[in-house]
Amino acid sequence: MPQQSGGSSGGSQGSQGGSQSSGGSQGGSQGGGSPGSQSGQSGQSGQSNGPNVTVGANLPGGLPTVGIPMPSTGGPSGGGGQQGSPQNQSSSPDASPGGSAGGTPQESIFRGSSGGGGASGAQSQSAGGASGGGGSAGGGSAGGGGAAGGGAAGGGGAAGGGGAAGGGGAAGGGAAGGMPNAGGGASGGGAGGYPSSGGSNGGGGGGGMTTGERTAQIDHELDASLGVFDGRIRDEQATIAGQRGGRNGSGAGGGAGNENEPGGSGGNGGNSTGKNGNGGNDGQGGAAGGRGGASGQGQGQGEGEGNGRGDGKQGGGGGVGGGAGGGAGPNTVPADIPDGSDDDIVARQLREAAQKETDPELREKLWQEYRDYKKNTG
Amino acid sequence: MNRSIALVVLAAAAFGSAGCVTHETRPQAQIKAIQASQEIPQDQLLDVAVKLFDDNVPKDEKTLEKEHIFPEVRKAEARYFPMQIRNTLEGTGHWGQVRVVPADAAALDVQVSGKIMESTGQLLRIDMTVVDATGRLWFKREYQQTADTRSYKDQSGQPRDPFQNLYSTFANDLLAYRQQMQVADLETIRRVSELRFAQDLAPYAFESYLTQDKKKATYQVVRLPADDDPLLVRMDRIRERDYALIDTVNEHYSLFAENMSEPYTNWRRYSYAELEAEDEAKRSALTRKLLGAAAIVGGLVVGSEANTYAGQAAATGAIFGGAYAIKSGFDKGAEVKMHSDSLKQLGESFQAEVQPMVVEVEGRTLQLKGTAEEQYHEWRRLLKELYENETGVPVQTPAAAPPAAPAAPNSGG
Repeated sequence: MPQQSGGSSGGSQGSQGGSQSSGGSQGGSQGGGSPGSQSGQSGQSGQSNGPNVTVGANLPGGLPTVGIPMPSTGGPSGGGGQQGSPQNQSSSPDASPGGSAGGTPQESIFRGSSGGGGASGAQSQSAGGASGGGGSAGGGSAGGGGAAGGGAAGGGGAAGGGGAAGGGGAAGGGAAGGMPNAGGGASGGGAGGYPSSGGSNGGGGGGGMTTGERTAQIDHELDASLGVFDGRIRDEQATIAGQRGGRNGSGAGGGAGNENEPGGSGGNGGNSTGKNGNGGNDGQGGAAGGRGGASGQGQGQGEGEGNGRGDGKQGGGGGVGGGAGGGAGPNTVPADIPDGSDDDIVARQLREAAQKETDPELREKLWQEYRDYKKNTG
Repeated sequence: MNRSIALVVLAAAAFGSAGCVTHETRPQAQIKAIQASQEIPQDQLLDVAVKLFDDNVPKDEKTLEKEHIFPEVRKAEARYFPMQIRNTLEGTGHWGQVRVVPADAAALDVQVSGKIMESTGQLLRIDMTVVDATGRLWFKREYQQTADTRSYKDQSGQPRDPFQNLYSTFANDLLAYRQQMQVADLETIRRVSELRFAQDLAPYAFESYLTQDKKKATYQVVRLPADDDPLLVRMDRIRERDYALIDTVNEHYSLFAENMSEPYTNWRRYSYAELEAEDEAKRSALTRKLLGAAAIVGGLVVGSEANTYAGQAAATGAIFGGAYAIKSGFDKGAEVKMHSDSLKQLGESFQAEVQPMVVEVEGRTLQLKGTAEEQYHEWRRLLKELYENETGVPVQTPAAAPPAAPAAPNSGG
């Protein structure tokens, strides 16, 4: 659930929490790699002005909350990143609402100047099974998220500088971590990415951003979000069309699923049940087979990336059976697409939308959008 | 005088005990929805949202049984009838997009809601209410129609709905109301609808464009945003998604109606036959009992006055005949019960068939709604950030904004 973490100020101080998560440190160097990426250092100044608005948002599909930092007015340098505090190793999915990021809230509106160092990774020590899915994701982008998140959040408003990376970082952390409640950017909060790990991630993002740039960035986010929504609607409509086709006895492409066993070899069980689970008799196979293919993509993707970017919930949930019916299709990530470990939320959503898209033309457009975005924010 | 009365009674008794009461249903004249003869300008085309009907299921078990109401069937009908209305309206060409939406969905240009008052295979009675986005009540009317039996006799794959006349009548009434409106009214409705949507997503930016009379629940446009207002442009993009969402929800209802159509038509057909038979048995039983009693009374009167052997014999015959008629009346009562049981079985069987369909469509709709709510929550956040970024004016958010995502403007339900 979204939290509005107040921009708790205060430079980061004790920064003992080492980044135990490899992802975290990795991300730290990536996300916060802008000037001031002082991962692992104690933040001092806390003067990086935090923004006065912090917003947490729920991402679709069970994705976690994302903090979007607002730019700061540009105080002096941002607070140094504070490393994740080791005690925040909660297995709870609730992130601490904001760590001690640099900067005082209320001082910043727009135009950040500089950010502090990027915080090193949050303590991605989430325990428990959740880490199965999240963990794998965390390996890659959650880590990045952790660090970047720290950076962005710390910088608070400075979202700017570290800018995209920073902002995205927070998101990345949250998103990839697969956990809710990454702290809001403004809070500087250590939206570190993993559950409760955000506690003391401070650190600033770097650089400033003009209103126009910021607008463009948010517009990108909106685009991505709309794209994700479009993808879901298309999926839903495809399901309906499949059911309708099945009802009419077309049964095209059927065969993979055994509708008498919901979720059986068809893979994506929830969708393969067809009308009443007896589709075999009236051509439900078409729909079931189709869905099987879709779920196959999930698994293929998960394996292909090696980082567990199958999203845990998708790869795990729908994966197994899907292989049979699936396989081909949007499974393939174009060669020039990076592994996505440093994706921020926008990039991540674009990537997901592209991966899920079954229409080749639209898929390519989404990949192009992804490339453009990475180019702009890289 | 007495004698002549008694003879009439005897004749009636004889006629009645023969069971000659008939009840004939004639095919009805087909009412057609008026088709558009020319293209309507885009800015006057009103979108229509047909909300899921109120199923109006009584809580009292006895009433349910007496009125042959099966709650799950009613629930299904509350989703089925709106789709018939929608199909009828859409087929006329007088309207923009016509969609079936959940009952709590927010404003489209015109909103149609209904309450099922009575629905059997014999009769359909629905209270219909129409309002537009400005809050103006178009009309509230009860529609009633007995089934067109041709539909039940038609064994082809796609018989005309037995209550199509009702849907068509409603469509024509809706059109008649719209036709008496000024073009400016139509444009205002569209504008208010758009602004209400925008206001719902970004109240800080759009609240000054509309005023609401809370007493009358009506809206008025105060001023208009610039056409190139960037926030409005974004809002339009989001609205397209909103339309896509309700189109998808609508597709689910459409599929549901298609799936339900055949078994529902069969159920109505058999119910109709049973209801007719039950009604006839009831009428016949009552008639026999009444006429039997009359024959006995007549026989007694004639017997007391008759001086001839023939008169006495006729009186005795009438008394015996009357007694037999009463008995057969009671036998008919058993027949009524048989039909009633049969109706119950039919209803329960169809109810069991349709219930999973209702559950499925509602599950799907809720799932979509959940997804949409998450998205809308995010869009609200992004729009707010954009607004703040572009205007430099921080938006005051409610102090304790609930973490749960607010309902999507049009996707509720």
